Amino acid sequence: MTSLIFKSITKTVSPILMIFSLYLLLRGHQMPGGGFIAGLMTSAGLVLIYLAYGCDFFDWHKRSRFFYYLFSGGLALSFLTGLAGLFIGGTFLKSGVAHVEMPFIHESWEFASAGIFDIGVYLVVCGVCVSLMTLLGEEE
Amino acid sequence: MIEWIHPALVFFATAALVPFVKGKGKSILLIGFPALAFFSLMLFPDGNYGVFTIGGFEVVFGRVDKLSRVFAYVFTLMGSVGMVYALHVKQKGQHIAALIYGGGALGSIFAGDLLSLFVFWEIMAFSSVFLVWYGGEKSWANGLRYLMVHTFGGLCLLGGIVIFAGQTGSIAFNAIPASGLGGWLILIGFLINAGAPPLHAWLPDAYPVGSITGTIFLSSFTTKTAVYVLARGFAGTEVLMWVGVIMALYGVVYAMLENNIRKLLAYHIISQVGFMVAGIGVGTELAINGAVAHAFAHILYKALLMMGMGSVIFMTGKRKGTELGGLYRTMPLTFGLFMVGGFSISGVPFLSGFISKSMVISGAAAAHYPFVVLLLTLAAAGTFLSTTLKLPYAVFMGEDKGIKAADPPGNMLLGMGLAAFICILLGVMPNLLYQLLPFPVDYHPYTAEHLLGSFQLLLATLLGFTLFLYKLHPENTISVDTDWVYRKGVVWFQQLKNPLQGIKVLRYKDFLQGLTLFSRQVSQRIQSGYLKHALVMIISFVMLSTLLFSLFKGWTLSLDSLMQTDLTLSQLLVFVLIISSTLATVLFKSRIAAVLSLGMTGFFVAFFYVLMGAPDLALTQYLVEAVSVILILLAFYYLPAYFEEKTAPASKMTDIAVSLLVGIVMTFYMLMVMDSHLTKSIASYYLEMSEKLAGGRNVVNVVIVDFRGFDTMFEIAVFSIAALGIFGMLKLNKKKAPIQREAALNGSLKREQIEEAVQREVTSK
Amino acid sequence: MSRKQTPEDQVKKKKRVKVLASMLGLLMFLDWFAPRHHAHFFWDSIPGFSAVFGFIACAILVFFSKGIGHAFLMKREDYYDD
Repeated sequence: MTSLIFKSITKTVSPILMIFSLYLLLRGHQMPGGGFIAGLMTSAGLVLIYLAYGCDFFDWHKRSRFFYYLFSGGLALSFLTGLAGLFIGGTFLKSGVAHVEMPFIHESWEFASAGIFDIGVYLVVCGVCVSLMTLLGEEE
Repeated sequence: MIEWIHPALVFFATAALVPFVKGKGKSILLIGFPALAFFSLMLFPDGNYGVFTIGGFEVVFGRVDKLSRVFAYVFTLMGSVGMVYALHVKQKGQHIAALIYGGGALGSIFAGDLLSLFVFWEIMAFSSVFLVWYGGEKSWANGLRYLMVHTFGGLCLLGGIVIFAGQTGSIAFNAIPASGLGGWLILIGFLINAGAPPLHAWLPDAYPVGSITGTIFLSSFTTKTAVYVLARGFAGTEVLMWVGVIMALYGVVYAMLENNIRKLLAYHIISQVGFMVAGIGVGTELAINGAVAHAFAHILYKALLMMGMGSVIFMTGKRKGTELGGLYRTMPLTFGLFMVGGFSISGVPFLSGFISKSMVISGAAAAHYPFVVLLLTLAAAGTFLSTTLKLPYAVFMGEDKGIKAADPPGNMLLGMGLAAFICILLGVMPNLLYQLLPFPVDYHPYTAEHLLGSFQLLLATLLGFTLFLYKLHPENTISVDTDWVYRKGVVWFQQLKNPLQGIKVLRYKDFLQGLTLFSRQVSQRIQSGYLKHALVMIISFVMLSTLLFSLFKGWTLSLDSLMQTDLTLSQLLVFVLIISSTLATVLFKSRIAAVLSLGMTGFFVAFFYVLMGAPDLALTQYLVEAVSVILILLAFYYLPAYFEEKTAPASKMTDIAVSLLVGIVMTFYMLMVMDSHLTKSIASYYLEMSEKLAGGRNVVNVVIVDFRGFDTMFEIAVFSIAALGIFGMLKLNKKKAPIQREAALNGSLKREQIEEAVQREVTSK
Repeated sequence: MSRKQTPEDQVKKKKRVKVLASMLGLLMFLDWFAPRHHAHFFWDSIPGFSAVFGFIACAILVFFSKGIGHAFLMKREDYYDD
């Protein structure tokens, strides 16, 4: 359906969804959020575009490869984070916490390496959902 | 500034560069890089480099101390000299194999823990076998036997390491007590590589058939690495003394009988390594110093001897003493250089053997082992006799058979010359070697006593040789050794026949055939290729084993808690709905109807969650159910139409049995878990520790990503696999007859109708 | 096995034996004067022991190895090739 109303709503809503999902990803450790829900939100945003503008707009099928790499990349990232835990001197998947001084804000933020793992999860969820949708939509 | 460069890396890097160089560049690479490694050893102080912690174990790649350094010196030196000798070789593979082999040896030397030792040990075995195989087509079987024995040794070693690490909890490589299964297995693994009887036969089997230049490397690394690890791990183990003495004598006896010129030297290696092993067995500082010094000198003079014989083979094409003779005129330089090696190995003063061999014997004497001293001296006399008298007599002196020969090309002579030079150098200036030895040296070889003793021994042996010369002519035979067991013994076993007529007693070959047939039949049953069989097997196995496990543990079920819960009317209604929709799924004939009622079951369960006060769970359940229904419908879209196949009653019975089993076991477990007091709840732990350990306040996320990260990783893996599966299903099923699609959707067409329709389709095209 | 020794060889051999034996005798004589630092065993103090031992060792080795060699160790060359 490519009605005008749908398109205009998508133009506003979709970017909000995607940015919000990134926000959810980054704050996952401290407050409700996290990789899974962020991934779902991002795919919701992307699928919204897909639905509103049709498959011709974005040339999804050429770009669909990208999403396969996305989820395989995400899986690899999570796995490698786990392996890196081995070399830091502990067991597989041991996480570390680093305190980083942010330049202008003068606060030290905690970055947990589990966050990278979460990003991997995010990539997987996002990639799988979007590729599923595009695959299903490709038929006919 | 780089902390330390592992010489093994230098060797590996050289190997990697070999395919890209030619001509002058090749010479520079092959000779220069190992030489660089040699000099690099002088730059870095002792210490532990390259330490990593993997999985709770400490892996040390670079344990540098006096013991490892001295071996590394001679290995890198040998790498260089050997390459000089091997410059003319055109097959780059040989160079690569030799360099990887050398790198593996260096890696083993510097390994501070058993794990990296094992890795490099195997690298050595698998690269050196190529040097055997480069000797020609006929060496294929020998190389295979070599590989088999080494793999066996490697397995012993690995088994020993695992057991030992399990017992002691660490994989550090230091002194290992030779007690307990782990220690013994490691010792056996080491001794196989050292060439200790009875598992030594690989050495005289493989070394003589390797390539001319390859055997030089072969004789240098494997056995000496074994000496190093024995010195490191089993110094002072008394049994080694006797093993060493046996080796020393065994090697010499066989060398006396041997006709093949390189095989003679190979047996000799066993004898000389026996000296080293005995020295390690004695365990005193002097004895171990002697063993190490002997190893150092031996690598060089044995290489020289091998180079000499290699040159003879290279120039004449003959390998047997019976075929050679009188070459001292046509190959004078080779003869001369060979004799330097021969004198060195015999312990002639002013050469390297004199300053090292006598140290071992003195060490044994100082520790009061009279028999060891006598027997080793005996073996020393035998060394002189077989290697320096019998062998050159057969090859260079003796009957002149008029063979056309000349001295070998320049690089080979240069290689020999370098080795000879070092032998002389060390003999004249023994302190060069002595300062490298692990313990401080208080030994003075050049005393009247020692000198006179050596000369007497040597001359007396020479006298004996002259007198008994007639007995020592080469004979064209081979000698049977312990490898008879796996070379001939097995064949003999195979050919056992019962004299009773017609009935053949279990022939080994028949037995093997029967065994393979049986295995194949079992595999065909179990892995028939039918998904259903596999599923039935897996599910029933898992369920039965868990059931049995809990029975063994004596876990019981009390239904009190179950009986005591209140049940409201709405809950009861939902229960009824769930059960009826499940039954409907099974009973519906139409596929779509079945899928839809499966979906309904899911929705009712979600409704139940709402009733129980978990709305977020209910939401998830709804979503998941919806997606599942869509996906199953999609699957049906592409499945073939034949849904009405009658299934055999037996098959139906199995289905019912498996479903019942699963149902019962799962119910049992669910009830038991709810009731159990087995473990305390971990939820409170997570709540407390989430901020401290993982730096996060959102406990849910912390649990998913941190505490149970492993689970999540597999979840996303499964997720990806599912996506790939759908991809495959959708993308790889391109051609579809329209009638099949329709049939799939309806699911209730009779078979004949469908076939007719397909026929129509086909004929109309 | 043993080759037929021509009379020439026999003469040569006798000569060599004589030379070696006399050298050995000289060494054994010198040994008498050599200071003994570490006399661990009873034989260390006997002058000329190494010579005697060396000769006996040689004899043992030659006869023993050839003995068991001819008894059962040595086989024809193609023994293993089936």
